[in-house]
Amino acid sequence: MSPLSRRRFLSLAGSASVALLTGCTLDPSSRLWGAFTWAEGLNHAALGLSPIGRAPAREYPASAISSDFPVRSLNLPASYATSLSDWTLEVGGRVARPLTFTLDELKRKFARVSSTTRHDCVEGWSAIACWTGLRLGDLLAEVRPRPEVRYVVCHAADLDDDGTPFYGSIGIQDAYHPQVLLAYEMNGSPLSVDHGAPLRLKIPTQLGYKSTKYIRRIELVDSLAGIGQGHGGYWEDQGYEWYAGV
Amino acid sequence: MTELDVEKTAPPAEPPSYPILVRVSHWLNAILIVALAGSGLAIFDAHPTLYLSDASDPHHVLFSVQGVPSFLMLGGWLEGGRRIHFAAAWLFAINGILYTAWMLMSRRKRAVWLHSGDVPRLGRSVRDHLRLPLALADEGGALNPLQKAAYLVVTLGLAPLVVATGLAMSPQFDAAFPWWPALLGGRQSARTWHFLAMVGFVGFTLGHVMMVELSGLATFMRMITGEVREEGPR
Repeated sequence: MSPLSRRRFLSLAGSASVALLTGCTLDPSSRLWGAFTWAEGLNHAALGLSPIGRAPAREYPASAISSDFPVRSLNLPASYATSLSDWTLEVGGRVARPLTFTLDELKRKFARVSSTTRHDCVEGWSAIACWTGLRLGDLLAEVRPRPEVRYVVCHAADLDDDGTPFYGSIGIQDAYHPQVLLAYEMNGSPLSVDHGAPLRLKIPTQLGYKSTKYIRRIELVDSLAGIGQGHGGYWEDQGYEWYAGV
Repeated sequence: MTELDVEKTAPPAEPPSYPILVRVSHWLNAILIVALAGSGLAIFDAHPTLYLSDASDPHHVLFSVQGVPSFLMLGGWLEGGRRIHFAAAWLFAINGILYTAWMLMSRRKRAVWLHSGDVPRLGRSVRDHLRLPLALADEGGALNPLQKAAYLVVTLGLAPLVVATGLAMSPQFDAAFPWWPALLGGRQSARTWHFLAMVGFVGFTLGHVMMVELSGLATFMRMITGEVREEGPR
């Protein structure tokens, strides 16, 4: 082969390989999935576990509140809105005092806190809102998690098309961060059904899918195995990162 | 023989060979930049609108497209893109730090990076590259001033910028360093600058590949073997 056509061949081969690659989908069923998941561990170490992980998210003035806040949910049971008057929150798992609360009891028993932060969705968009509710840490202090607890799991009321329920989890250390809320109000009004009525988690230092909506039960566990597919959340079971600081 | 004859027959000075670190780092970058751009486009496709704002402000849209053509996306979907992107990003950052550190410590840096002696010749170098048909002086294997300027801008400017604008989209990073996304005009602006930095890399890569193609196989092979060979038939 002359040098000219050798070069042509190389550049064609290069382009063809790139084109072939772009046809491939990488997901947990892929053979190469494990070749990429180590980066989450590095992200977690560099951002979540380092001093960076203790910083509170920026608080915004009321003037910064977004007029448009997109809604992302799975499917709610029929007549969910009318069933809310019977809603209770069960808090259990490895705790000394498992408890159940109505919404009124949560509002009366725990300090009311507001926090205006930016919600960053994994899709790429962001929206700012004011969330009002109780600190998750205050609730945990009431039920007294056992020393072996590592995760706080929130079980939600919405389900996907196959009937798989939504759930999410965060680390116990993050759960005590003063900015992590169980919110029952958004922008001064009771939480709408669109945005997670009657109670949603808000953890602004991680992507929005970690802030579970439609919470009906909180479970404190030492392991994520045995819940859903064992990866710590509905989206995590699809392949999304458990540590969603980036 | 007279002294004049000795000068005429003396062979030209050989340019230094490319060390193995430079060549490995270069080809690793070639693969990583393709992986980062392709996976980045898969991520972008999940919300293919760019804003200049902090939160997504519909009054401050820079541009919006229906979606990204699937042949440009690497990973197939948002999370496939994210996994490839973050793995490649770590390798890109480590590769870049190692190359930059080595280059800063190396005596060879004057051969690669723009220095004061090159600046007077920079204007003419730019004009030479814009003239058609292209007729560049044979520098005997040395880099011309525009090359050096381009490599410096990409290595010390564009590459750190693309990493830093990427970090500015991290809610955890933003919590610890809120001044950085603020300086960029907000988190959505950071996403826009990150995308435009990618466009810069694509532009650089296209120009670079075109120039290598025009320079002949010997130039291409030098980044594989490290040595400058006799110019063969083109």
